[in-house]
Amino acid sequence: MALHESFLSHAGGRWLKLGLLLILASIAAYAWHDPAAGPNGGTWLGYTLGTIGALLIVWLTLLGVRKRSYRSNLGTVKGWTSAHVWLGLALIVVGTLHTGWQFGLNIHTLAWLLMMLVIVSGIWGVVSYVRYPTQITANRGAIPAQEMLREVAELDRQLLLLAAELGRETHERTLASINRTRIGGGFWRQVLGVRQGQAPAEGLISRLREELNKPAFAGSAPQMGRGAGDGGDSGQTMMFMASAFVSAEQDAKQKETRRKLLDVLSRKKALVTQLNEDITRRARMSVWLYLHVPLTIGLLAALLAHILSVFLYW
Amino acid sequence: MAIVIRQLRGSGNNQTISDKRIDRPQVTIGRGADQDILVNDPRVAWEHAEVRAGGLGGHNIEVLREAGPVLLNGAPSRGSKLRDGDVVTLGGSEIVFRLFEGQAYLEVREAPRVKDAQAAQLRAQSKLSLEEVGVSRRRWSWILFVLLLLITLLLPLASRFLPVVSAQIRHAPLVPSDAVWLSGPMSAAHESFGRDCEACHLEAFEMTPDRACLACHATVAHHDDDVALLESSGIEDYRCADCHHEHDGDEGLVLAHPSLCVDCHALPGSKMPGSGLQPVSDFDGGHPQFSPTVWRLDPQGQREAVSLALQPGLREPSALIFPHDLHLDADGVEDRAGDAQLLDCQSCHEYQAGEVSFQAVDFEQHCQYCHSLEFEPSDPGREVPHGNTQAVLDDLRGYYARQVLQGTEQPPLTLPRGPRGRQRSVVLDEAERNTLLRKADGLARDKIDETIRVRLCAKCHTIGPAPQEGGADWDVEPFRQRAVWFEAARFDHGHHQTEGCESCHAASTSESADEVLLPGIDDCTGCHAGNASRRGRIRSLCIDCHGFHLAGEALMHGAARASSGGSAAVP
Repeated sequence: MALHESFLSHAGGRWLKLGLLLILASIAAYAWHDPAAGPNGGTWLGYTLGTIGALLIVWLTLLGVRKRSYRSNLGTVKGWTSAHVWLGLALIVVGTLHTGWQFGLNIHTLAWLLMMLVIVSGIWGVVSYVRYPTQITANRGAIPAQEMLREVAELDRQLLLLAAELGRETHERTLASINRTRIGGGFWRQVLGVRQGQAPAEGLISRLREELNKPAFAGSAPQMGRGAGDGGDSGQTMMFMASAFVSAEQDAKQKETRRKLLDVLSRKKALVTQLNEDITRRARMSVWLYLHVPLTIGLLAALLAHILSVFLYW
Repeated sequence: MAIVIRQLRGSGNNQTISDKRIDRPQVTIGRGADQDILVNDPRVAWEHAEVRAGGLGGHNIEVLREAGPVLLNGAPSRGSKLRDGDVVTLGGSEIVFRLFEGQAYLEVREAPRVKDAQAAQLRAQSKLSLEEVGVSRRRWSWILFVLLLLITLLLPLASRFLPVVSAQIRHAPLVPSDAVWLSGPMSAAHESFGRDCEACHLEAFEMTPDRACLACHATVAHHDDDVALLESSGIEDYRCADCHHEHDGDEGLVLAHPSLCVDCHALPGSKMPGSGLQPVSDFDGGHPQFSPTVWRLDPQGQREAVSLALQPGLREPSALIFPHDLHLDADGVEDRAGDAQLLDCQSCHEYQAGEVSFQAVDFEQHCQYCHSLEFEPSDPGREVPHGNTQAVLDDLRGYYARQVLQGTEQPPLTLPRGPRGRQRSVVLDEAERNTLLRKADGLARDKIDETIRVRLCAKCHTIGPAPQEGGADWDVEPFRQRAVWFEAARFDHGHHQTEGCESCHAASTSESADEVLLPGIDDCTGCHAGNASRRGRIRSLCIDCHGFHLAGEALMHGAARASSGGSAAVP
């Protein structure tokens, strides 16, 4: 059974059932309750729901502490996560009924809004944890990222050795390509994924291969000068090498070396693309935390102000 | 400025050193044969980097365009100022920068072999996860926490408890003051001082006390004049703000929820023992029959106000003779000229906008057009005044005295002749005057007793014994009809104009003015439901008809109204 299934249905769905019970009990009490001033946070039910909600928020926040304390025997992290998800979802109902549908431009509604944003980002998290692990496994197999990185480095080493045999310009191009190789990248590059223009272009490789097979082009393709390109990817290198290839009058051995170079380059490109996709999937799997965690801590501040101000100006 | 390149080969005892002096201000590093420092490694470019002597004796290393970064003291770098002892790693070589007595040395030696060096370089220029990017969840959490704490708690707290900055914070635009704590819109009545939270929230963590309300509303009437009953019922234990909610717009200030009344009034026997009140739980099915306050005559004939449950045949001794049925005859009634006048309710009962009751029916305005008060057939157009028996009597005396004196009275007045048979002077002696006055009074009394009493006043009024000074021994009985029958309820006729009068008041079949023509609760429940909205009927709550601060004398919290008036109850 996969991880995501086990934390959602942990202990026979105990927390799911408890969350549902809380939701139903809250709705039933709200429907039955008929306060003189209309539903609001200050009725006995309002105080009750508010207390339950505040305690839940604090407790669910403590998951962040519990999952870091590996020595703790206070339930399993899986159990805590299951409770975190289901009771957190129940909080939508508990917290919203606590408001009595009274919203305004004030810190009380701000606290509710933050709570909802935290929950929505949490739902995003659950979806991420359900969706991405299988995709990651399907993409990468069982190979760890570090191993793939080592493989890319090995291909780089082979590229440099092959290129060194093909003269200075070919080597420089190859080296520049290797130096420009970026796995992953900044926050948005990781999350949004590497765009087509940023990756070694498949189209370019096939075009180069076509040119390789057409002797008519031999000697006609121009040499690319050093530093002529500024786009910066291995595709440029390949274009240069292809033109060098078709224009060359080198012997068969050199031609064979170039073929190998192109082949290794294609393998590297495929590997880098695969690795980047892996990084993007893993970034997407955890990017929600960059909202969920700061918003949760912000919510604690708003919650403190909400509770304190309500009783300060009782 | 020369730079010395010192090539170190081998190690330990086998180490060899060879120096090469470069008399240019820059040293080239790369894989090319023409480079000053030759690093023969496939990872290195033909022309990879340069070390340059700066103008002020400093030295810089710069990586050329296409080449990859060098490692400067282990960290990737594309250019930097060099300090004594800096280690530049490039391919399989290490170049140590030394500055000795103003002379720059570049010591070139073989770098210690690093396993997976290529992988390490790739790793160094890659960021494999969000954690490596440097966006810290912890930092953003702290920023958000502190920012929100400042906006939602610290600044508002300062605006309330730090008098030094209070005014500035509250009046500065966009600065969060304790106004951000408002849980809802202020009522219109309190909005003008709504920014001064402490006007009502006197003490921190204390519920708004009554003294905050009474500071302005000192003259609010109590809920009843029977203060002892209010105390025993427990209503004295409530705060004003328990029922009057601020920060809920205008609706919260006067709550309409029936539980505020029904919690006690549903069980008056246990909540208000001795009150004699009937239980009320809901207008529809849980409300007693209406009990109008009517006048009744006690055994001495004095009127007293009593509250009686409305029932068919309930009468109020009005002392008025007015058959509604006659006046509302479909063929009209005959006016004094003999013409038929078609009357309806509005002919006499004129609606007063904003008032519960109608304008009082006025004889001169509503009756006299048909009902003449002429008393002397020989003098048509001459009428007695209405409304004051004594005034009528005085008027008649004067009228007939004038008649007697003018000699128009039949038979003609004859005075006894004087001596010598001559007509006497007009100066009358006392006996003569008395004779004339007696005659005039007699005429006036006869007219009152026999004509006016029977023909005019008694047409509409019952006549009772009441001696008039110098006149008759009867009088018109005073009109006894309540101006307001339902003292504890409000009814606005203006809101019910779509209904015909007859749907509540059966006037067209009423033969006597004593009949109490008020609608019962059944007449209301046809349209009005109770607390819950019933399909097709209007949801009606207690305070739609009933006020709350009903006391005449008692004020909130024990005080008594200072003035003796004590009339207006504040609803």
